[in-house]
Amino acid sequence: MSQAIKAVALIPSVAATNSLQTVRTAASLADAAGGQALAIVAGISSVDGLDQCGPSRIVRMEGLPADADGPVLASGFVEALKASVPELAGCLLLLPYGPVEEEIAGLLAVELGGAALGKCSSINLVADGCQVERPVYGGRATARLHASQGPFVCIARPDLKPGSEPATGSTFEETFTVSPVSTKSDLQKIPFDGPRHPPLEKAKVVVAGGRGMGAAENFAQLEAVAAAIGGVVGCSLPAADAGWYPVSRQIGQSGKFVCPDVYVAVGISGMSQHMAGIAEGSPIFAINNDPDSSIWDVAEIGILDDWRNILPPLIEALNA
Amino acid sequence: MPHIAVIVVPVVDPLLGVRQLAAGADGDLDVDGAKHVLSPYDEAALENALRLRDKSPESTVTALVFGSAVANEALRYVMALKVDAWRWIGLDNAAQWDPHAVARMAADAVERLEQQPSLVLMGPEFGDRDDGLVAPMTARLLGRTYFPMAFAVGQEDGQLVLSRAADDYEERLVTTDAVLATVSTHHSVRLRLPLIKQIMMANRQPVTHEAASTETVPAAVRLTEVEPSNAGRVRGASCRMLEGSASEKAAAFAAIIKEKAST
Repeated sequence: MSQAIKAVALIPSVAATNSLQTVRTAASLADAAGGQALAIVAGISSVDGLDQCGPSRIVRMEGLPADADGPVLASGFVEALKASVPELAGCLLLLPYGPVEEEIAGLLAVELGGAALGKCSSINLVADGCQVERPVYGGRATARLHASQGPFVCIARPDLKPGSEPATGSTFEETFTVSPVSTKSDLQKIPFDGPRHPPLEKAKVVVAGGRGMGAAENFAQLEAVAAAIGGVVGCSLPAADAGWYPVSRQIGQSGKFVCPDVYVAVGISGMSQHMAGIAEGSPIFAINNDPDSSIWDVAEIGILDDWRNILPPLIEALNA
Repeated sequence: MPHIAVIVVPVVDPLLGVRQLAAGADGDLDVDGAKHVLSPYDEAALENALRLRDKSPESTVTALVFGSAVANEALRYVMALKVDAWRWIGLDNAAQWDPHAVARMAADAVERLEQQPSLVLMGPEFGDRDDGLVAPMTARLLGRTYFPMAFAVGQEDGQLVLSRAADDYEERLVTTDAVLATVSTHHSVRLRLPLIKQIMMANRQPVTHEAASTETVPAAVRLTEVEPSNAGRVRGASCRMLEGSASEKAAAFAAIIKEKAST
């Protein structure tokens, strides 16, 4: 007799940075709970390596428009779930980290009457339900939460604590065609005139500026640092709020989440709301002229000086 | 056009470290005595609503302020901004750990308004305990189009126009549908300052809590405990400070980040 499905990874698009991690986590948690994992993937997605992440089944949803929005994708997932998983009450539904995924998680929790557990840094399926940890109070604290009645709807933060490596075996693939949906959308996409910015979420090197940068034009020096080392530029909320750098480049609790190998923080105070957007494993290298700044509590390497003195020779040294 | 409701949920002052807070009931921190303020996102939501009203004087702004006694000061401030109507809706701390329960309360508060708003604005998070699920859930419960992280909210030819920023393009929604939108901050949107006279009037006005909801639904998510965190980092961990002249420090910094970036 086959084991029950205990966890389902829901992959709406290729855009999320941690789709494979999400499927692997679902498989690992299902293993630990003595069940199987299923991955349901929007038909347009072509995520390589899913079958190596441990799901026993992969269901590809077909019949969705290429530009399907959150509600359309959520409806498709609900249909596919109801057709694929006979009993959802004890099941974990796990989505990757991203704005569309966040919307879908909320919609699924409403549609399925599930327990919405948020963007989790730790997830455990236990005998009496599901236990998770997630940041609260603007990243200043961590809450441990418990839900006893599923489905348990969670979003995997990119810094989600990894479980044990899931067992990999043969993976059964199938397709599921969702009902025709209305695709009327009033959404217009208008290209920006300015320079194009590479995505922050997948960057290996991030150079970020904060309130201490003082003016929009000073971000050109951060862009020069980033260009010299193959990085991308982000900013803190105060810098975005001041109009010095685009809101879409804001890192933090309500902005982007980054997990680079190098995070250079220039003129950033290190408030928890900003730190909440940086993976805990990413080393922070800081330049700041405030000896009392909180950034020194979290940085590995620091320069206590005005960035105006440091960035010009830094750019020169990086380009040498 | 348009009647606008703004959901406001004061947060613990961001400048306050949670380590300064004692443990409270049910595993939570004791935040009831802590200073609470409007979040920058709630401020942006209020200002966007007030600007829409400035442009079409027939429209109205209703503030739905959620929170226990800690919300009193923020409520008075919102009242002093001369919103057309306000409601103060009591919120039990323990109930806030379940986004579905909170969304039901928020949706219920909107539905209880005499005149249904064409636009509901709120911050991306509902207070300190939500991490972004309450807004899409509330929109779904209300059957509204959901538009997250709008940096501009306007009106053209009787239609709502909302804009948000992606990496390389702007997404714009032009619609006559009923919308719930969350707002991002923007340098062109700063919450106006109320007149001193209005603040004094607001402070004198009697206010009372309303119950959060007539429907009692047990929360599906319960808190075990809250503990201060530093995004997983150890506060006070030794930060190696580079010394020397600016050029020496820059050269050492460059060598370190080059090495880290290449491994």
